[in-house]
Amino acid sequence: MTAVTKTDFTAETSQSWSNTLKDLDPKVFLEKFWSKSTRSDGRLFSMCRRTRMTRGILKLRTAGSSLIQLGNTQVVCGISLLVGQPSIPNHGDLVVTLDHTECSIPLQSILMDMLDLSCLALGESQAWRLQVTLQVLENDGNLNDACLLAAVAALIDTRLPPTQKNSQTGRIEIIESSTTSSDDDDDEGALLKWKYIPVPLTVGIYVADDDDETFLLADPTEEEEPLLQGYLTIVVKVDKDSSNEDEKPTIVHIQHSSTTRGLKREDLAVGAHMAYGRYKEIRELLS
Amino acid sequence: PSAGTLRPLSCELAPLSRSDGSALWKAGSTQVLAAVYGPMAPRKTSLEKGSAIMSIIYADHREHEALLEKVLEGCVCVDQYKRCVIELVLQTINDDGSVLSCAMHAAVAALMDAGICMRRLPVATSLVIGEDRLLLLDPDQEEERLLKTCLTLVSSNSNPDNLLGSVGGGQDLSLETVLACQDAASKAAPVVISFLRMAIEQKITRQSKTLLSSN
Repeated sequence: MTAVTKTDFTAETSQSWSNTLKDLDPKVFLEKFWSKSTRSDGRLFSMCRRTRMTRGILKLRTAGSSLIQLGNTQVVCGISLLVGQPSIPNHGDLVVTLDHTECSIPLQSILMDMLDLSCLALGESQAWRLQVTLQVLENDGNLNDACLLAAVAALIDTRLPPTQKNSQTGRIEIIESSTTSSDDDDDEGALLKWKYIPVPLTVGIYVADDDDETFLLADPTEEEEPLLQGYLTIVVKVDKDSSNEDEKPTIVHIQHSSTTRGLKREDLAVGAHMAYGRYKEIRELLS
Repeated sequence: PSAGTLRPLSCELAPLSRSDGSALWKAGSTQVLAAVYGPMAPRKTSLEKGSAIMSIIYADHREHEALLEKVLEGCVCVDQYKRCVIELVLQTINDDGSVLSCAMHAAVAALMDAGICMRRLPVATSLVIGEDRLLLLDPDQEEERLLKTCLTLVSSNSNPDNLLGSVGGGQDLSLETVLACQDAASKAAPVVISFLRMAIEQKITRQSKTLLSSN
C-alpha cells in the first residue's frame, strides 16, 4: 500500500476516510467536531436544522393538516372531527393518537391547554372532538419537536365546518357545500381559537469523558442521538395579546433526564434562552 | 400541610418475597410499590450495550418510564453488571399527589434492598406553584388539581445543585421559578436521604441481630 501524502488527498479520499471513521467509531468522529464547538453537519450547538412547515397537505377527510420537516425528520399530522357529548359542558375535546415511545412530550395536555376549548361547543349538549393523528414519515432525530410542531401547525390550519341541527333526529350535521373549489375563504369554516402558540426545543445533553463541560446541542440528529446522555425539552409560549416584542416568553413545559452528573443552573438558563430564540424563529414561520 | 414541609414518609423494605428486592414507599397517603428483579440475563440475547440495561415497567404511568429509566441508569453502577438486565416494576397503590416522586423513592429503596450498587442516589421533589409564586412542596392530589403548575425535580444526594431530571409545566412557569424550585428541592433532598438511610440501617441491624442470637 502506498503511503498517502498530503498532496495525494482529493476531496473523494477525505470523504471516504471520514465515512470510514464514522462507521468504525462514531464517538471519536463526533467528538472531533464537538471539541471544536461545531457539529458534523456544520451547525453551531445552538442552531436548529432548516424547519419547513406545509399546511393543508392532506385535502380529503381532514379538517386541518400539516407536514413538518426538521432537516430530514418528517412528521405529518391530520386533524379529524367527531361530534359527541362532552364531559365538561360547552367545552370541546382533543385526543392525540401517537405512541409514547416516539414522542415523550405530553402532547395531549399541552394542546388542550393551548386551545380555547369552548370554541368547539355546538349547541347545549354537544361539541366537537378533535382527533389529532400524527404519523412519523422519517426519523432523523428530534421527534419530540417535530410532533408538537406538526400538531400545532395542523391545529392552526384547522377549520370547523358549518353545522346545522337536524330537526328530526336532533343530531348535529355538517352542511355539505355544493362547490368543491376552495377559492372562497369565508365558506371554509371557522378557525380554532387558541390562547397561545407553544413552541418546543429539544437539546441533547453531552458531557465529555474528562467531565469538565456540559454541551447542549440543539435539535439533535439521529446520528448524534446514541452518544447523547440525555435530553432537555422546553416548550415556551408568549401570550397572544402581547404586542411588545421584548416580552419574555414563559415556559409551558420542561422536562429533562440525563444519565450523567446532571444539569447545573447555568445549563438550564442556556437551554431556556435557546428555547426563547427558537420561539422567535418559529413564530415567523407560522405567521 | 404547610408550604415548605414534606408529608410523613414511610418505607417498608422487602414486602415481597419473590423479587430480588422490593419496597413500599409512602408519602402521606400516596403509596407506590416497587419490585426489582435482577441483575439477570436478558430475554433478548443480543445486546449492543456492554453495561447493564435498566428496564422500567410502570403500567399506571407509562409516561414516567423514560425519565425513571434515564435517571436510574445514571445512578446504578451499570458497568458492574455487564450484559445484564435490571428490571424494575412499579405499581401505584394509592395516588394522593406527588406520585412520580414517590415512585422514584420506592425504586431507589427497592434497588438498595436488592443490594444493587449505586454510585449516587436520586431524590425527587414535587412542587406546585401557588399564588404569588409561592412554592408548595410535596402537593397532595387536591393541590395538584387546583394549582395547575406542577414540577417534579430529581437531584442527586452527592451534588444537590445538579438536576438529574425534571418534568412539569403549567401556566406561569418562568426560568426564575424553575431555578427557585431547584433551590427548594436541594433543601428538601437531605430529608429524604437521611430517612432512606434510617430505613436501610434498621433493616441491617434487624438482620444482624437475628444472625447473632442463634446458637
